[in-house]
Amino acid sequence: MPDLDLSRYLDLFVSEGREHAAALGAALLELDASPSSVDAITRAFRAVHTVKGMAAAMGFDALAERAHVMESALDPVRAGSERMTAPLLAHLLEEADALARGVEEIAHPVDASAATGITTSAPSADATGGADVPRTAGVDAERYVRVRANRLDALTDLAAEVDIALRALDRALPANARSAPDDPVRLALGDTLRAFRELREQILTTRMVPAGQLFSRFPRLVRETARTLGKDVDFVLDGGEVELDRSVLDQVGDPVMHLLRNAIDHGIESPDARERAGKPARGRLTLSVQREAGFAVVRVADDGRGIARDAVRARAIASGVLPSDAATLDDAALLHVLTRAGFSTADHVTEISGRGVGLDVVDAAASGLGGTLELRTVEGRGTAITLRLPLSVAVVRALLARVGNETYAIPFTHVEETLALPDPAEPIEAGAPPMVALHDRLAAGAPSPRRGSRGEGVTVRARGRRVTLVVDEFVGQQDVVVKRFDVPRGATIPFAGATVLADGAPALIVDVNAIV
Amino acid sequence: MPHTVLVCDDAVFMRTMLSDILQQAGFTVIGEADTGAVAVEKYKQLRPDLVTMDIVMPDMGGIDAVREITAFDPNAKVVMCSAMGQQALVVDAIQAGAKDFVVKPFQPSRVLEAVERVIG
Repeated sequence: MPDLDLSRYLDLFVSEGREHAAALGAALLELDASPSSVDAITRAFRAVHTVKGMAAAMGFDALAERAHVMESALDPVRAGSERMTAPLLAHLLEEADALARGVEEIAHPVDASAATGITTSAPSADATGGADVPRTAGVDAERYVRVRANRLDALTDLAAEVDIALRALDRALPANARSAPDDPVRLALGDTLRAFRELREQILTTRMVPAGQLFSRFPRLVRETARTLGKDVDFVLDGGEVELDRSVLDQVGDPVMHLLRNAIDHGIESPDARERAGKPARGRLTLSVQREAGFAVVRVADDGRGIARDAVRARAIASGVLPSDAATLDDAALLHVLTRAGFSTADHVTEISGRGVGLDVVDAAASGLGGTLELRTVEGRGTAITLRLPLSVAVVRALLARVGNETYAIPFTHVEETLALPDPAEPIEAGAPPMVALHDRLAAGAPSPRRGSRGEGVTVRARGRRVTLVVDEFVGQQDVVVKRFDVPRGATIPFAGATVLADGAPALIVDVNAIV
Repeated sequence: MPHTVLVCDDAVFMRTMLSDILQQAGFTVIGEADTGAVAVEKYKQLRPDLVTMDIVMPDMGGIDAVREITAFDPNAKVVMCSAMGQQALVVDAIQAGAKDFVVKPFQPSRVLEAVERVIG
């Protein structure tokens, strides 16, 4: 008999796959509350097992394999030979999210084929979870091809190298050729640069996927978390069509998940408390993505109780983070305190936020992507936390600044303005951000190259603070390709990575978050 | 007269796919069951020529269902449908009275081969 036409079963696969993914999540959350529940472990196992069988039948091998691995982890617990532990459960919850995402990516073949499992700088464990593309998905199927992630990476790397070579060529152009309007070398080089810019744009575009892929895992999470905590929450998604680099998307998923959990746990009040406060019993939680001037802005906003500034201040004073005479905290100062590792205002550790997740983790993730974190909160009205991220981590537009013999790249995400520094004798304008010599922040202890001469300044913003960095001079601006380096866990260095400039010289990329 | 089949699986998806394979080959699917208990009940009621039985199902699993069905009708013809990595369970199922098994993902030809061999 002829092969089955699998496309006929796709809708059924998706709807039933969603059901089982949801059942799996619910069972795991139940195990979180009562780890020895035989009923919950049995339901979790069955859901995973069913998804495995269905995915295998459809030829979605990556999804089937993921389910198989989960099933193998669940089996000894079900059989009673192993106990459910907190780390195992945390792992399973993550895997369950990846599984749900895999089903969603199959549900939206356009997304799925765009998401060819690109895992560049941070191959998170779940990045390949949904790399299955319906082979027989009828519409649009022939318009997409699956591409190995490492081939796309190779293209990106090659583009970066061609970029550097072309810039060097441009610089090497003799002055007389540069000034002659019809010099054939100059014209050909101009054409090449234009075509190359287009080519690079196209290569970067192939790495972009809609943020909706990030969103698909959250409705269930929000629902289950709200249910566990006895909260009533309307979850609003906005901007799912905005495209981001897959590696940015992969890395922003967990921070967003933590923000959502925090908002439900600590932000949104119980229905009773909301009614007493004259608010609708049902809280509102919004996750939105927007594109703003070349950046992706991801925002998690709730209409809950807001952050208690005075409680944070008192706690910060008590723990020595702030001096005892500290004034009321504004949003920036509040964020600064809240992003200190381990700082928490929760009176007791709850089931949900007790995973040791604080704003410090979210802040670190934003910094790692070359982005920033912003906070706005009004007591009694709600809190909004905004992640401002580059659309792509592979390439960052940066201001190049010389300090002594070194050139440093300062990502534009953080730059507010550049300025010629006033005469040191003149009084500093009131309210102006503090001035800091970049050299002092980067090479503490080393002698300053030269002092007293007038330099240039750049006002940067990070963690809600503004600082004017003093450098010797600005030497230009450039899209730099970020090469991250491995830093031992716990170590802090003031650099986000390194890059190679047009003239072939290496430059360090300043991690503005680390120095303001 | 075409042979009649009872298809037992907790996933609608799997039941639909299996039913299609069997019907295209000329079988009549006279019933479906989504739990082991329903399978036993429908077997008694419909007396199908053949049963396809998933192993992992809620309520009562496939192996217990086979045991009850063969206790009711020693000549019942049951083909187990197991997923990868359940070889040990297949042995249990055969001991419980199943006549053959197919492994998911199904290849239509393999399903029909097993089914036809069992029906003889």
